[in-house]
Formats: sequence, C-alpha cells, structure tokens
Amino acid sequence: MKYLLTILALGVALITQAQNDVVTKLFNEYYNDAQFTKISVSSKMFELFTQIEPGDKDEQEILAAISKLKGLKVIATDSVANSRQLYTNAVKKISAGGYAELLEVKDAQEDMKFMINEKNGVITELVMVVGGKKGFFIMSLFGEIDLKQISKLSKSMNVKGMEYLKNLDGAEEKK
Amino acid sequence: MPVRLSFIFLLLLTCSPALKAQSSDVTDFQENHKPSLALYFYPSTLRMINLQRNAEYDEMISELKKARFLKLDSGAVTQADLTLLAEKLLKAGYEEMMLMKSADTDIRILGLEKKVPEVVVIARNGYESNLMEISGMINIAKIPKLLESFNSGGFLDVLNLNKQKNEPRPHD
Repeated sequence: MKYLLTILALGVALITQAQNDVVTKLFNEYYNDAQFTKISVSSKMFELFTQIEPGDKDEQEILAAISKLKGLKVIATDSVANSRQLYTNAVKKISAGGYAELLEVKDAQEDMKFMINEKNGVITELVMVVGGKKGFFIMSLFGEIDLKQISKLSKSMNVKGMEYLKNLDGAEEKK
Repeated sequence: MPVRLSFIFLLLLTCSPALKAQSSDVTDFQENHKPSLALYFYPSTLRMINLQRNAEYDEMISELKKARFLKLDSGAVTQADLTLLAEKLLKAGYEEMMLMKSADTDIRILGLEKKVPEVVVIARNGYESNLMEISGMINIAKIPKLLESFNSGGFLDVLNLNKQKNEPRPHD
C-alpha cells in the first residue's frame, strides 16, 4: 500500500512538474529573442511585502493577495507580424499541459485567454495569453491564487494589460 | 559599564560583515565609476518632493530609511561592470527579486531581507545606467491610491531639475 502511495505521489509530482514546464519552456523559447520583453519576479519580492502593516481594508486585501504569490513571469512584444500564430501555438501548448480554460475574450483587436492550474481546489497558477495584430503577451502568476483578490488588485492598479483581469471577478462567480 | 557595553555592542553591529558588505559594494562601485548624477534621499528630503502634501505618498515612504540614486553615462560603465556588481551583492547575501530584459533595457532588482530590508536596483538602457539603493520598505499597498492622484502633478521632478533650470522660460 505504501509502495502504491509513493508511486501515486511521484506521479502527481511529475504531472505538476510537466505542467510548470510548459510555461517555463515558452519563456525559455523567447528569452534570447530581442523582440520580446521578459520579466521575472521571484518569491523574495512578494515575501518582502508581507512585512508591511496594512492600513485600511483595501490595503489589507491587496497585501493578502500579494503575500500568497510565489512568482510572476511575463513575456510581451508589440512588434511581431505573426502574433496570432504565436497566440494559437501558446494556447495549444498550455492546454496540452493540463491547464483548464477559465475565460476567453475575442474581439476585432485581440484574442485573450485565461487558463488555470488547480490543485486540491486551490489555483496554483494563472496564465493569461493575449494575441493582437502585432502584439503578443503571456503572463504566468503562480502561488496560491484567489481570483477575487487578484481581480481587485488589477482593478486598483492602473497598469496597461492588467485591466483584462477585471473580467475574472464575474467568471469566478459563474463557476 | 553599561555605557561601555552599549558602545561595544554598537561597534559590533556597525562592523558586522553583512552590513559592511552590502553598503560597501555600491559605495565601491560609485567610487570606481564616477556617476554623472548622485542623489541621496532621506525621509525629510523624500517628503520635500511631495509639493502638494499628498498623504498617500507620505504614508508610502514612511518605512523608507534612505535611498541613493546614481546615474552613469554609457562611457562610465559597461554591462560587465554591472554584472560584477550584481554577483558581489549575491555573494553578500542579496537575493534576486526581479529581472526584466528587453531590446534596449535590462533591469535587475536584488534584495537583502533583514529588519530594515535593503534593495538594490540595477538598470541599464542604450545610453545610460542607473543604480538605486534603498534601505527600508516602500508600502506597495499605497501605490493604487497614489496612482490615482499622481497624474495631477504636485511632485518635484528631481531627476530633471537641471533640464528644467536650463529650459527657456516663456517670457525669455
């Protein structure tokens, strides 16, 4: 029985590793391409913010959302001709890696997909992929993710691209 | 006797290798590379930038003890010099917090976790490099509210003070 449990645990660990590898591979693929901006934030950055004493309720929610994060990776460009193809390829690879689709938005300007990696009812990774006419964007946020808190954080931060996360609030309520 | 003990304790504290290492690496770098601009900020000077007395800004910097900003022209420093500085800081106990790389910009943020955290930002673009060393914390939870009021102005642009001074005034 112990043997079986060990194999099962190893199997789960390998599947999880495989899922993380999908996004990491995508990041490595574009890492040395000068057309892409690459951003990587480690858990150390988020750990530092746990030392801050929150003031009001809004700050408490922002810090609570940040403190559970373990890392952030972004790949972005606004000057590639094959952005739609990059988007399709990325979504295909991430889906094949076992990520579940959470939300999809399509309009004349761009396609966008939010995908999640869930473990025991806890979202451990949120991936956002955007493909426009010349722009392509992937963001991977990992740690313990509360969609409501993250969407609140994205609403209050007036940063370009983050506005897409506002849609997640409604998506979670529909779940 | 207690006075002497306190003095010895203070001496040991200020001479501890970690403290000495983290501050001297940036100081050595500054001495060896002669920045074109060096600015030192303390709580009092950081509050002076806030011309309209924005309360969110004052609260955001309340945990910040001091900051040093260095601007180096492209001739004064190479990418290899900056990589070497980052390596020295990592050896001194700093950890990689953020990395950003694009066609013309490289940014690395290294942090040392302790009672008063230390953060060093190393940034380089095509024509200049910037180095920032911060002791203390910036309250990130204040940023959203600060952003709402930031566009309205009311802050002194300390990095472009020289440019503003040299620009012709409307009645000239």
